[in-house]
Amino acid sequence: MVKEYNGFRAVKGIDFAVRARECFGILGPNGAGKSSIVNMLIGLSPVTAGELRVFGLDVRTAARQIKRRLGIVPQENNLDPDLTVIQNLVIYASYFNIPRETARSRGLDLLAFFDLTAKAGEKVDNLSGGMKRRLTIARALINNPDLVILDEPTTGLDPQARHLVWQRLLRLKEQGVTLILTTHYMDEASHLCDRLAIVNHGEILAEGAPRELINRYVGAEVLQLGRAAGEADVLVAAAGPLIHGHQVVGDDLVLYPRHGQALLRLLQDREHRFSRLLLRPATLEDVFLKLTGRGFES
Amino acid sequence: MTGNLRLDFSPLSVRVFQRHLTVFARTWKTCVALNFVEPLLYLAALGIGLGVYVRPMEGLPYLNYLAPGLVAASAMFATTYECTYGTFVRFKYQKTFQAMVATPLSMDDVVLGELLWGTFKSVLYGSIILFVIFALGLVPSAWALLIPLAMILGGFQFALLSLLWTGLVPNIDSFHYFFSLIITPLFLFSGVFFPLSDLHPVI
Repeated sequence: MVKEYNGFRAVKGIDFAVRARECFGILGPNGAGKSSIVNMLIGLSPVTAGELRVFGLDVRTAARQIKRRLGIVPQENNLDPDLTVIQNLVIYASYFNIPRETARSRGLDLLAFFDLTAKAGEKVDNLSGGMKRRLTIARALINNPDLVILDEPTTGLDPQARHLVWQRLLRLKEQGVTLILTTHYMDEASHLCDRLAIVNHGEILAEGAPRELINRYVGAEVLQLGRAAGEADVLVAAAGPLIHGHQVVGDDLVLYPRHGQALLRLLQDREHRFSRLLLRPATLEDVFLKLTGRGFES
Repeated sequence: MTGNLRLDFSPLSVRVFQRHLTVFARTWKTCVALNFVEPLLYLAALGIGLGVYVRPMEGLPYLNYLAPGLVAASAMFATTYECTYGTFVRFKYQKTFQAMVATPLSMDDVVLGELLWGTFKSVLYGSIILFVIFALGLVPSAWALLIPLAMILGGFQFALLSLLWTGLVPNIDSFHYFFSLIITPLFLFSGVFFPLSDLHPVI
């Protein structure tokens, strides 16, 4: 699947499949092409080349049938500011031809599920960022979708609000809803996703379960040496067989140890030369660093 | 949306209209009240004020001549404001349409809904002014009851024209061109204020 905008290739030919009832993550930095992928998935932006099927239907010809069974949480909350909280759900349901009474009772259930019952009659503008996000997710569930697509569901939320959203998404997954989410938060991806694709510059660099990706590309632990990039060659040579790889990230040197404790002992006498010497469990961020040779937020 | 030019309308476009009606149900009192004011100001200032100095036009006192024109102008302004500024705000600022097309609604449904709504507002606002001038004793014939039917056509036409402009402009300031170059000249030179037969040949 390829997406071009005026000659710029935002998505350079990617291929992935999502299984029913799983949570599939599309993980990558800003500008990696995540939103382009989502916009094609929901039929908002035409596929330049290749094939894209949702529920086995071609997005080019069956957009309406597909959207009937989709729940979409866009990156930018586009709640209707002219309507109240409950009206947002009921009116949105009407776009699916859901009868008013059904919509209302389902809307109230969803508000309860997302801790928004007290706000039912409130205007949308009076909600906090976290509440707006929860309402946007609630809205995406009004048609009982088989697949929910969330574009950066927790970007811009404070930690409490993020955790609340995560808990609700995990409960949805338990209820058998298939989820596709994009994120640039590593912890979000490891917390929620069964499988994920790491994307960068419009390409998929790696795909698999979070733990499996970490084991495959980095191993269990990494040793991070602050301001050690200058003597990388010396240190890598000294570490010898104790490491199975390394990566220079800006000023830092990241080593992938075979025996973390042994490596730590070896380097401890030089500790004063580094701004930081840290042996820690490997994360998806390390996988990304390894795959791209650069930091995630840069 | 699919990259071709085939139109994709469905009965769901009525839902867009209903959404606007729901919003309007909350704010109609202010909207309608404000809508009264302007035509009444014109009637007072021009019809009664200026009218003293103006000789009868087409056999009518100036106030009586002016009144029906203001009904038409009201109908025109209602839909043009709605389908320019109103639509633009929903589209670019509130992202209402983006939310709509994430559902089974197509973009064509949304546009059709806007058209229906623009037409409805034109008929509604025009009819209100018609009622006002009726109450002022300025409607001499029962045939005036047919005027709202004509407003459907006019409203639809102006809704279409406005939406076309809204679809083309890059930002909200571009509507000045539309109003200064198209709508205001239409307002001034369509026989609202004076018969076109008396217009100077240069114009």
